[in-house]
Amino acid sequence: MRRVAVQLFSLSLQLLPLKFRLRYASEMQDVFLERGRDRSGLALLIFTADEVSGLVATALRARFDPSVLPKSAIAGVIMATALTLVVMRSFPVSTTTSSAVNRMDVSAHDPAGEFTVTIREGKAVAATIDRVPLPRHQIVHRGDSIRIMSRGGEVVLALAYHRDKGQIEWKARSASCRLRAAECVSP
Amino acid sequence: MPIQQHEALTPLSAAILFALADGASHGYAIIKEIEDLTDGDMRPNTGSMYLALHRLLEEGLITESSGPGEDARRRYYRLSETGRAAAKAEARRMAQLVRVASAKKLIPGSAL
Repeated sequence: MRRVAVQLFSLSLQLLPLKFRLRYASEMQDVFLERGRDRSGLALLIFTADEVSGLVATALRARFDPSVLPKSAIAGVIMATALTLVVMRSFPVSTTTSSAVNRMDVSAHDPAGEFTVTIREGKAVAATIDRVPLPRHQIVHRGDSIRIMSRGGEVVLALAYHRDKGQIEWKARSASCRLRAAECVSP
Repeated sequence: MPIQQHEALTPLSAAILFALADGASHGYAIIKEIEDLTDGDMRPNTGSMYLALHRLLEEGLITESSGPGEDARRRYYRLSETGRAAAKAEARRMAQLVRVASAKKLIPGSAL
């Protein structure tokens, strides 16, 4: 129950604007854990529901707050908020793939966060980590191996690409890499 | 000394400034202080708290600092000089409202 509560809160943090999330999410997660420490059962459930709904409201307000986003960005933002609650297991790994002729788009997440890979004509041509596009030189594809590199040249994500099956496999990254996955080398 | 005009604060922002009046504090401690100061009437959720903290930081009413030795990983917040002045102004404003409410017998026996 507590693990689900923590995962729901972590998932809800993704609704916050990126810069706000990068700055405060870790701290907010710690506060949530401390506040929920002495709660259990129904009390924990009510507390979690209040916190998650608070995050939804905060995400909406933050996206129209000039101290969080510049007015020019606010003017261009159309907010359509939908909260999808997903119960995650200990090692949440899930992928969705869509493929057209000669193209495969992979969208996946694990404890460290989300990533996408675009494979065109059998070659990895684009990737994102936590919705941030990566430069081409940080995507290294050799044979069945696709490696996503950090800016410093270290491997942060290693994928096995099974072209014949149209599938990818990877070792789930550690939750300790959450919110800094683009630069985090999983132990 | 000229009196600076400070805009009225939201209840949560005011509560945060009052909670920091005794010294620097981290996020969890600020929430606990607010709950204690208001006898549980105000229980801000974590999201609202941090949005309010962010606004206060952007307005220069509070600043960030690192914690004491064993708690260096926590982010602490403290009142700036402007923030302390804003908190005083807000307290005076609230006191004036309480005097009005007391005069109109909306509050039984005010000590102000």
